Amino acid sequence: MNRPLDRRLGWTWWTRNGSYFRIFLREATSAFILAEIVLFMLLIHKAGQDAETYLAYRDFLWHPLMVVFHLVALAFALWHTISFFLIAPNALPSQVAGRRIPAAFIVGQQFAGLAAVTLLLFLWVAWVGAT
Amino acid sequence: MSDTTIRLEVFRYRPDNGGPSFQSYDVPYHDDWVVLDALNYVKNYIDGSLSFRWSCRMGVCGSCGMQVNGEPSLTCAAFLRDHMPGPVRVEPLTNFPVERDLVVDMNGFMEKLDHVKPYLVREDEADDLSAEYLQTPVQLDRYKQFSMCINCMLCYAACPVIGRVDDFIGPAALALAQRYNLDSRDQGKQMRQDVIFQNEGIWECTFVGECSEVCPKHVDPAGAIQQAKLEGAVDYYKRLLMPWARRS
Amino acid sequence: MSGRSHEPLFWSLFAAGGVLAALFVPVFILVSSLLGPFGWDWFADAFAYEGVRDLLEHGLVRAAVGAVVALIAVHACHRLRHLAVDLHAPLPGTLISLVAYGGAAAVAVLTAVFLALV
Repeated sequence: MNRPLDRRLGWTWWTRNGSYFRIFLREATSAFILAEIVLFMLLIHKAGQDAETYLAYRDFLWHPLMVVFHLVALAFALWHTISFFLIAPNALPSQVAGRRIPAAFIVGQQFAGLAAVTLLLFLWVAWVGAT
Repeated sequence: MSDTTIRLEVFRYRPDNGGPSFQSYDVPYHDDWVVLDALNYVKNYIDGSLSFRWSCRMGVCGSCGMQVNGEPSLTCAAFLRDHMPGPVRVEPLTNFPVERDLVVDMNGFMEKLDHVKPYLVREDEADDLSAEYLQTPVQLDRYKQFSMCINCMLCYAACPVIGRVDDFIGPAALALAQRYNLDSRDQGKQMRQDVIFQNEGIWECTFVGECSEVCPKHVDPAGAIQQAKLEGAVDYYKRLLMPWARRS
Repeated sequence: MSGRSHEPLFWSLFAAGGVLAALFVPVFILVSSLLGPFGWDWFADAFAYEGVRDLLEHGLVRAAVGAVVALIAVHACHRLRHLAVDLHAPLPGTLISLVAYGGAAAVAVLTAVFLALV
């Protein structure tokens, strides 16, 4: 008699060890990113209405409890950035024109891009606010 | 013989004799013993009914893969000293049907390997098989990492997608597909891509990446699958925008 | 054989949106929702009524914002779809996909409309 036993990983796979859990957190970053995007969409919506409506919404966004949410979202967004940049060398072909590209170079380029984008947006918004 | 002992908690399952259970064995502890040595001690001196697969004892044959304290491992490379003072829990590889004790059914895996044609395919094979196909070191370097696989199936035990989708071709077979697709001597890429660009090929993968974590040969199947996804995406748009260029 | 997958379409949008999210979301949260409330006047002024309308005044800025928001929405929804599936959500796969990509499309379209109305 032959009855093979079923021992497949179930839906709780992400609780089995730390590296699974980090992947779960990586996937969960999408929930926070989507939430911030929807909040931004509504901000644009209110910006198209009168000043009073807009400011009421902005005060909601800047409410201390929402600021706590933004801080958590920022942590998740940064985890998305870091994990996404670290994956990139795996997805690219290991050689270009017969030469190996060091993974550290690809990762470094991406963080340089992040620094540039962050600085530019920061300066642009600060400049609009200051003038 | 040393006086120290270490306890093994071994998964037992005999299909004609009730459900699965754990059985504890106290075995002598030696600094240089691996879990496989301890299992062989049990088999030879304590309980001859325990079943498990092994062969080379040196990380080459890939047949002694089991869960050691929950982690898919080659038992010939898992030292007892890393699990002191114990106990060491030994289970069959996750995701596979268990035939008996620590022995799993690997037929599904063998079929999946077959799907990706893991061998050099030549359209113009010479009849006398005397042709030479030269390769430069740079060409070898493109696929060498993916060719180190020993079919130990640890990556399948680590993959949550395998646990969900029976037909998912899985890490080792997809890494082997990429290995041959990157080989300058191979001409079977088109046939393999018809298989791996299906849902049950690379597209079920969500890059959990645990396959690469547990691989004893550093094959990086997750990386192979990511590379294939990029190629698959390029190929998809090519076929969409230039339907006349489809070969198959 | 089930034939070639259409997943590359969604995966490539997911990847593109992922790059944009990695680059833009942290600094966006910082300047729009944290520096202002923490008392940095430039950023408080930039997100006052007149300030935010100045930010979105230029047509190129609006087009870029619309495109970036759309791709990041697809990225996040694609990932949530796969997370739901990987957590064995007891719903048909096509329904999960429909909700996810439908949601992303809704965010993209509404953002474009709202941008046009600013």
